[in-house]
Amino acid sequence: MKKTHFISISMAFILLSAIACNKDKHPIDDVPPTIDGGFAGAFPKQCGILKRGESFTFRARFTDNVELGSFSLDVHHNFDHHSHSTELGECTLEPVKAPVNPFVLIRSYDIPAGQQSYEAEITIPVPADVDPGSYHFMIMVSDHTGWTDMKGLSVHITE
Amino acid sequence: MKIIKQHRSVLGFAVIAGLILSFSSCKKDTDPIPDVPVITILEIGSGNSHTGTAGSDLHLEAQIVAEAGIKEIEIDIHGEDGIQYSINHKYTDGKYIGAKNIEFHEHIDIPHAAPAGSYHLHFIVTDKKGQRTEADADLTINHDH
Repeated sequence: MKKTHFISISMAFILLSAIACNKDKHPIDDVPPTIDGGFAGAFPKQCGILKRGESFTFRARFTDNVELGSFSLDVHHNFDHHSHSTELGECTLEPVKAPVNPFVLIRSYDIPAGQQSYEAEITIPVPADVDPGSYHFMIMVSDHTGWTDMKGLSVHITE
Repeated sequence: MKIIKQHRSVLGFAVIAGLILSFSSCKKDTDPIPDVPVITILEIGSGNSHTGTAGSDLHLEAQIVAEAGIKEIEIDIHGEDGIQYSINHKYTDGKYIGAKNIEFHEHIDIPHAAPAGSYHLHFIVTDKKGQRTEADADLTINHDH
């Protein structure tokens, strides 16, 4: 009888310590989020056109295995024909030129807490006096731990 | 009775060994040491020419992976062969900070005052655990006439 008690107590103790140990473990999230800019309503798309003096609506979907964090947009001119490692390829390039008043947009946006999937929709005005030409439109999304995904698009600003 | 006693002592040993093992494995799993930042320089100057022009901007592109999260990125350009000129940029806020993997893409202004010649560029990344990694490359600065 005593032996049975001893074995039961020992087993319970081992089981408890194992459970307590499991609780302490935080599963390591090493999966970066993803950007989907390929669905029908996504904008801009590769080689898309943005018009000076008009607003456009940026639309993309972000997903993560655990929780999204934030996203940022970076639009800058490509008058010097520079490249990005995430670039999807250039559209029709114009001759290299010096920027006078290039359109620049560098902005970060928070994603509401607890989201595994989020569709961003941001209205962005393009001033009428910015330089027309080739631009890079960089989208970056972070998950709650800091893993990121980046997508680069080539777009044109026209009259 | 003797057999029970023997069994108890073996069982007792197994329990203690099991507990020690489970606790020691716990410690390992809850406090992993993150890898130091890794910098892969992709392009310095347009087309990775390692050349910049004074009065213009220098295109820089690199991939950085910092498991502990990026705390600071520093770009330090300093003259070689007797050129006493340096350019320093530190990124301590913005989209890169806190991220674990990024494509660093920046255009750094090279002032008109930068003398033409040989330079050295240092790329220094510090993570949130204070771990620091440095990558460097040669750079030539020209003057447009």
